[in-house]
Amino acid sequence: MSEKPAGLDAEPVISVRDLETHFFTDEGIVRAVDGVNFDVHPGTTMGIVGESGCGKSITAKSILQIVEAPGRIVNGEINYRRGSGETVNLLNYESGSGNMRAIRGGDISMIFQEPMTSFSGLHTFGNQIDEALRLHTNLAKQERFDLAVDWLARVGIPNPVQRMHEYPFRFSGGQLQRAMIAMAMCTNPRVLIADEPTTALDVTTQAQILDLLQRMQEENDMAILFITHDLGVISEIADEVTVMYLGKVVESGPVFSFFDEPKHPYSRALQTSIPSMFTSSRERLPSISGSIPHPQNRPSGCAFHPRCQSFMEGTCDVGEPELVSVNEEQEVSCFLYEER
Amino acid sequence: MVAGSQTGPQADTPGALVEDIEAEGEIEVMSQRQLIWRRFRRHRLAMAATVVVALFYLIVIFSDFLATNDPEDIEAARQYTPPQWLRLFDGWKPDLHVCKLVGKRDEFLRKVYEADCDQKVDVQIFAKGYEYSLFGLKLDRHLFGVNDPEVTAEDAIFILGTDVQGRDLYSRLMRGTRLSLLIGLTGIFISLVVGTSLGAVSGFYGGFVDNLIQRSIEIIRSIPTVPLYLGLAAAFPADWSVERRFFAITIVVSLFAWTELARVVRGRYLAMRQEDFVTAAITAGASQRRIIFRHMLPSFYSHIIAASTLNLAFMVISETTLSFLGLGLLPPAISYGTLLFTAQNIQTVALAPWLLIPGIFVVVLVLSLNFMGDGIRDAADPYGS
Amino acid sequence: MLAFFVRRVIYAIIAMWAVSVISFVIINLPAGDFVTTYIATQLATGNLILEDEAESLREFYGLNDPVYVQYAKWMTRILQGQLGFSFEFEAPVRTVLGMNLLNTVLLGAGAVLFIWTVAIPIGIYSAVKQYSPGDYIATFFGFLGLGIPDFLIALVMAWVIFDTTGFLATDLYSAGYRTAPWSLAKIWDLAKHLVLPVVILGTAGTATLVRITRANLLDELKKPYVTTARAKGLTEWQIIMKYPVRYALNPVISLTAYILPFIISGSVVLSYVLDLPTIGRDFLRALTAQDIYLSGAVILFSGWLTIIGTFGSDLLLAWVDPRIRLEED
Repeated sequence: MSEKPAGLDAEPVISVRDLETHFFTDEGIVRAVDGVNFDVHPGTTMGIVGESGCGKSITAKSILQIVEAPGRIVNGEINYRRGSGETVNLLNYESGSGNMRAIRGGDISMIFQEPMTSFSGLHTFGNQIDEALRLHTNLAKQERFDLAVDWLARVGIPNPVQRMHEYPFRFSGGQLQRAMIAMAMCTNPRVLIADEPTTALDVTTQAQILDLLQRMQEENDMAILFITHDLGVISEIADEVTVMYLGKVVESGPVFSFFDEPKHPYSRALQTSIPSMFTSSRERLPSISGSIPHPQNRPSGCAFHPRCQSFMEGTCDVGEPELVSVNEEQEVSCFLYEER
Repeated sequence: MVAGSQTGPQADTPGALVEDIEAEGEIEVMSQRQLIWRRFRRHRLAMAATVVVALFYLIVIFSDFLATNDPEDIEAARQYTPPQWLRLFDGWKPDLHVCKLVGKRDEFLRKVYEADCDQKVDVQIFAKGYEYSLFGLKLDRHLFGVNDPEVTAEDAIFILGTDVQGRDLYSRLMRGTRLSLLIGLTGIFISLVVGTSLGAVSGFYGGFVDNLIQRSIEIIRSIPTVPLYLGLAAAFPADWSVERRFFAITIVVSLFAWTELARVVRGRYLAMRQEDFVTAAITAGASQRRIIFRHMLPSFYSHIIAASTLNLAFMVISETTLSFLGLGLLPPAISYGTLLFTAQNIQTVALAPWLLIPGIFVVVLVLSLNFMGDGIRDAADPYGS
Repeated sequence: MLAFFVRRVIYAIIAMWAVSVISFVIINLPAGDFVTTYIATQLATGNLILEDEAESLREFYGLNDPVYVQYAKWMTRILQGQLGFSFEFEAPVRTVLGMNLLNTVLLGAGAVLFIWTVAIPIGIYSAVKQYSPGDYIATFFGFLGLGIPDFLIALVMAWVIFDTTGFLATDLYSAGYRTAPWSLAKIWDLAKHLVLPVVILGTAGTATLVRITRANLLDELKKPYVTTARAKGLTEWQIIMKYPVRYALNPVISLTAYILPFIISGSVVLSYVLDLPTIGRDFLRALTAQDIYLSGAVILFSGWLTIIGTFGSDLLLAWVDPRIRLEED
């Protein structure tokens, strides 16, 4: 984390522009993702942080176009740079098209929050991993099996051959998450989207999974889009951070600048709510005042203004701030930094 | 909710963001009952079904007022008279009437009736007819009809036709609705008492008692109901009075119905024991009684109502089936089942298809009860699918 | 798996025993023993039965024994295959039921097969194309099938067929085949006659099953494992057929056990309306004549058939669901 990875200067492998994903419910339209921009650079990790409901998971699912109904991507570009250097806008592919399905699980894999429910309990693990290989490689049955076993061994699952024939309910939570990583990695994806992969795990297992992901990244020169609400995890794994609040990006930049000099009042509030070595045990931990507004009840102006410490009346509740650069590295969307 | 009154970390992982579950001020706080009612109202089909069920109950209360002819009145000469549909207009002039039936002899010299729309029978509102009692009052006015109809078909009206004995199907249907629904209601009452108490005992004591009751329920549910009901019904002596038979049949049809209720009550009870608000009440030092009656029972009223509504539908079908097979209620009792008993074979149905009209009533009632029950269940269970 | 199997066998045996007790109680409910009834009916037809003849009949059927001995004797005879004598048909119950028991099984099995082949695809379609016109139509007919009593469906369908084609849809065999030995032609004839009863009998069950399949599938489609499968790059159709459908099949199988009693019940009513030679038709005749051995046997067999069917569906469930199959013993 101390040194800057080389990949950050390279062309981004994924570049999300003005992404808008809305949910068309009976009660009205929910703008779950409302104009999001960020880049993921090859071989590096982009962390997306935010509270539940800020749209970070929907953003991830939008990249693969697997947003469930009534959600729909209504606007934006998702530019993917292939290994050949050719750049395509994934949103030009139909969700069910062969092109898009070749990307899913092939070029871009995804792992999920709840390993226990993310596997089908009625099919053996081998059956489920073989599916990914069958779809994205031309290998013969035995070769696929050997490759899957090899990957299971690489993610640190003992007795991989035997495990291939077992059902998921025989695995522990940590093992299942490893197995899911193996399933995502076996097709050699260029990007791995990890949607809160450690949230459902205990702290020790969490650390092991993070180590595993970092090792996989180094061995395979792969970019990771890491989604979490946990700043501790971000500090361990991410090279860059994007902070989301109610479907919008409020701040983005390299991970050190984010922790050293958070710019947005929300980012600052987030960090003061983490206990640190220097907080005395008697001290009450500050929390962010108020609660996340209901998505249908979006506050006017800057959506964060009702909870903001630096609220400026007549400014923050009137116009929406734009994401602007405050230095070479950091971008922030706040009137404190905007020339008016 | 005052914003910011919540302090202190709530999250269990260090660095996790604070999530506040309390709503902002604009969102009102509603009681459980209001919430259920609000969700139920959104369910349009269930609302419509409830209105239909209410109409059926109006028929139960006012069946004689709604009837046009004495349901018991027999006249062989007018057997199998086809329905005379009520007409609201004569040309463009509003005029409530039916086409007059004219008696003829067919080639076998049997008397048959045919509608002749050149002659009309005027239908009056609040017409005078047979005497009946309503809420203890002796009355002779009916919603509509012909003043003092004679028994001959020429000047009486049979808006849904007549059966083999020349009795007015419409008036009998009004009466039949009363008996069929009364059987259902009595049955509901029995199954409610048996079902909730056994369910509560099962859930409350657990262990052996629970096991015994649950296994018995499973066994009862695995027995096909019709053979069982029929076997029981056949054991009742044929010379029993109508009332006695009525109660016997009611008990038979509630035999099966209580099991569902007992299951629901037990299930809700067990689920609720784990709920936070019950734990909260226990920690607050509320007595067992208070917890059960004040906290737990209200939260499954709606489940009991839903199960009972669905049970009512089941009982109406059971009674109808039993009586149709000649082993439930017996004539002269008038119920949906005994009315359909007259339409037993295909030849009769082909001759007088209107005899199946009681079937339409059964279907509409059963469907409405199903929709209503489903609606209540969905509304009562916010987290169920 | 073994534990599961043993538990189910024990449960089935207990249930069969309970059903036998209930059947026994029911046949003993009518006032006076059946010999008295028999004598009365014989008297009515002009046959005089002497008192000592009646006494020997009572002795033979053990009517002078205490109730539990009577039950034990009755049960023993049934297990030995002696089902008693039907006074109404004046033949051993076994002869009366014989063929008709097979017909009942055929009708019930046919209805289950019909329900599966019709309800599962419709349920899947309804869930995948939720809120489409097809879904609404399926839901509407589903509710209709649920709300109409079996006998009414039978009556209306048979009437419509009679009215439009003049074909009287009754019985399971054409006149020429009823007593003929089994041949391909007879089986074909039976199959033709089975279609309408099977459809009628299956309608209500189909309605229930469509609703359950649809609801289960809708639940399953929202599960994380579906998203995982989607993220792997499978087509939507591959995903649905491989995962959620497989999951939704489990409740379908266990629900069959729940529907089975209704099917057997329905077959009794249906046999009456359509005059089908099943144990249901014999049953009604036996009941009205207070022919206790026959009616007792029918209650017993309809209960046992259901329990055996339920046991079968449990085994099927264990076979398709690894979570049950691989359960630790």
